[in-house]
Amino acid sequence: MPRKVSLFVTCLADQVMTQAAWAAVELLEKLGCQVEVPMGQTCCGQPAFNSGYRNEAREVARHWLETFKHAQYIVSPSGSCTSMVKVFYKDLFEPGSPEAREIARLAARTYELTQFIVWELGRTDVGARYRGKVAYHASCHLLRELGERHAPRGLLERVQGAELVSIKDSETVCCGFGGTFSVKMADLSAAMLDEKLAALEASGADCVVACDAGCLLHIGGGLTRRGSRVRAFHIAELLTGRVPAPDAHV
Amino acid sequence: MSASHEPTSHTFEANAREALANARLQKALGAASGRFVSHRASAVAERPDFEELRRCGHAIKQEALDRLPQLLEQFEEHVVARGGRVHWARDAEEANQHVIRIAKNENVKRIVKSKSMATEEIHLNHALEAAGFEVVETDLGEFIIQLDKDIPSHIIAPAVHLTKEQVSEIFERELRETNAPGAGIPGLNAIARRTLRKSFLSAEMGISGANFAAADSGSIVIVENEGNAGLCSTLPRIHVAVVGIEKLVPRFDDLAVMLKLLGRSATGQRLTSYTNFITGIAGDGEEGPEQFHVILLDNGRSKIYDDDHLWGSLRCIRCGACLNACPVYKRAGGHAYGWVYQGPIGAVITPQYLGLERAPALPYASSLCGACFEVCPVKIEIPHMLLELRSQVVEASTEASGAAPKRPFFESLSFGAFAFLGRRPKLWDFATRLGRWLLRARSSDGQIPALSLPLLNRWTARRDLRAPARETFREEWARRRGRADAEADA
Amino acid sequence: MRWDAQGVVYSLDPLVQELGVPEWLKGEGVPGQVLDGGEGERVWRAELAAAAAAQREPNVPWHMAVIGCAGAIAETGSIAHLTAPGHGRGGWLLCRAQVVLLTAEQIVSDLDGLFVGGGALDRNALPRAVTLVTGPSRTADIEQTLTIGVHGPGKFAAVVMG
Repeated sequence: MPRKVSLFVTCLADQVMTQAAWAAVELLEKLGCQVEVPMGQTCCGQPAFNSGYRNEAREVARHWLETFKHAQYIVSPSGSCTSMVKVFYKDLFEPGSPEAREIARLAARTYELTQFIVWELGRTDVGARYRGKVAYHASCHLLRELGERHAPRGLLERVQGAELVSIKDSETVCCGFGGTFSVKMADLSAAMLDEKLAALEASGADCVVACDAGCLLHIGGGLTRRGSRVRAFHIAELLTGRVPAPDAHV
Repeated sequence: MSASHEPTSHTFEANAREALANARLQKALGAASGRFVSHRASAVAERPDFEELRRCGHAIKQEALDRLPQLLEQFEEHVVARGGRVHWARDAEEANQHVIRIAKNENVKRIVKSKSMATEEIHLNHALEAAGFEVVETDLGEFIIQLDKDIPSHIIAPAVHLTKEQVSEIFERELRETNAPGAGIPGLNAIARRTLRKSFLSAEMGISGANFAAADSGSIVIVENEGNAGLCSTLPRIHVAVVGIEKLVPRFDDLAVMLKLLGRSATGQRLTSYTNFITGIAGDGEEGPEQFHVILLDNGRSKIYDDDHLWGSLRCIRCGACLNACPVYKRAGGHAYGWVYQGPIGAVITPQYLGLERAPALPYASSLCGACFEVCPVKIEIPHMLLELRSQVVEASTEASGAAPKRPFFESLSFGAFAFLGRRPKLWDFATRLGRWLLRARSSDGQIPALSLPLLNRWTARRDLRAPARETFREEWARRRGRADAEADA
Repeated sequence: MRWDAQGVVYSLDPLVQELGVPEWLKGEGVPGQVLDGGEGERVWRAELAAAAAAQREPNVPWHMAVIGCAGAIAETGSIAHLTAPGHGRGGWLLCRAQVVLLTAEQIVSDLDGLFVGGGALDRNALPRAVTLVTGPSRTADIEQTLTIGVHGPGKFAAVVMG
């Protein structure tokens, strides 16, 4: 029986980074999953939650719970949105309430994409190839709220031809995105971004990959503004051969 | 540089912008944070059981909070049994009055102080000076800060924002040490040692804080590197310790765990140079003060204790590890937080001490990256507490009393619309299509270089904004994979 | 190791006595002072105070402290000093150098070992002050640059006696 996966696209991948969403679909199907996309999905509510608007976040969370209630597996190409569901949804509802029970049920079957592939499907080699140097940016929510240090690296280490370069101390340092933080405290956010970009450029990487559309928008926007040769991609894009080899985009 | 005692937490953003523009400060902060982080990392790596220690540290402090009223009474009994006295202070005013009264009763003129965040919090020096006492900070960093009439910018490294050149200038100006410029760091240390020796040997009262207080022995522990806390608690005939009520641990033996955590987390030391365990007054023939007073300070702590979501912040042992790990602190510096506690833990506790209305920006002074929680020796869930505080900020802003500042109109409107659309997929799709269309009109080569929309203009000031897709992933999915498949799930 | 101390203060510790520190000092003509809080120590401190008040501190004869301890920690290189009659604390904190005598049996592997009954940090037998000393007095308050000898001794040595 193939696993039935409901893709929790996330609003950013749906609206902006559609290639990342397609790459996630392709990966999951290649690994034998049957992918469906609940069409009524909007957002998980994180922007409101992170800004302190819990009533507003609660309404959107209820909609999410309704949208995904029949799912067998829920997989998302975003560590941050996954952590919203798995870690923070419970803070929005009374313990013991019907919503809290529903959250417990659905959170247990919700996965960030690389975690699903590595820990649930048991795969690290997905047959990917890339001829170039890759840096990995560990997005904060995947790293610290979901505690994931190994899955994305495990997948990257098995990309044929790719050289995984270290961005040293900077790998686990926040890029400064932080959702609304990037516009609320824009100067601090930009200062943090600058340090991240400098570390990336110094690493010799041709591209940087991460498991979160938000960080990638931030890092990618900083790189193009600088006119950097380093480019930012979702990890699924690299794993499905969507990242052009470095000499192809010089 | 001089800073007033008035908190400036409400202007965090402006404070941070000023800090970002100060190249000297950025250099000092960057260097300090790098050193602190690497020292801590090596000290932690030495203990394979460090995670277990963190769990124990968390459990010990949590137990102390659970049993706090009882432990405080037990602590007082033991202090008294060993010849000491305990004074309870509800707020800064009461605490300062206790110290002033003791000093007056005992004909004290000169006071030496060792580093204490609790005394910073109540502005004890200010109160003592106003009452006519000579009070000298003896920790080198605090001494510099006191000379410069500045305020500390880091919990454990008060003068971290100053370069050695600035310290030389301060010594030259305030101590008339003409040799200070060019003295180098060891030379500056020697000046401080020489100047402060006089104070140690003549003071009648020594004031300290405490890192821990053990309920079952009445002991306090003072952790330090310079020897000044040892001198302050030994040479003068009166020793006064100002101790926040959250400093309690249930058992003296719990200190073994807490000390293993504190040194490593704070400075990357296995143990600091001097760990002082102080219990009561000196016995017959034993060296030490004739009087030992403990001021147990509440000053807002019991209010935090009553908040179900935030009371865990009282576990804090003031190690400063979260400051050093924080990418926001590293840029903004301690003064930006506008009060005595800085960095992530400052962003959590300052709004509780001062009131949300006086520090509404602090809970937002974080990208929620979680580096603070990762290093916290007592596992304080700082990012989650910041989120809770943000919700309190928003909630308070809607209260009719008008005591709390209103949120920006644009912000509340946006989230209102977000909630409305977020549960109406068709309207959501319509509105986002409109938004994408508007944004795409400004793009070239798939990037939006500049926008004049509120907030988004702040993004494009320093980064490009990737243009949204013409067609969403879901629309494309429906088109390519067929409506039938999609309808089944809708 | 040569420290060239111009005077020595010492505690009334069995190891200090066993080693014959007071007699040796007398023989060598080095000024010695026991840390017993008595008249001699008072005079010594008054001299220190006078020198400090005159801001002559760097030029006055300086002292080394020789003390015993109540326990030591292998992991951290710390010694535990307990205040008691004849075991003052201010005296050695004011010195420029500190030598601690101990025997191998006094060393425990880590901090926990001091908290046991009869140990230096036995909850039921705490003096006014227990000090765990780990190396010299130090600070990094200026530019996070480590400097030794701020207020306490800038030199520290532990001598394990056979």
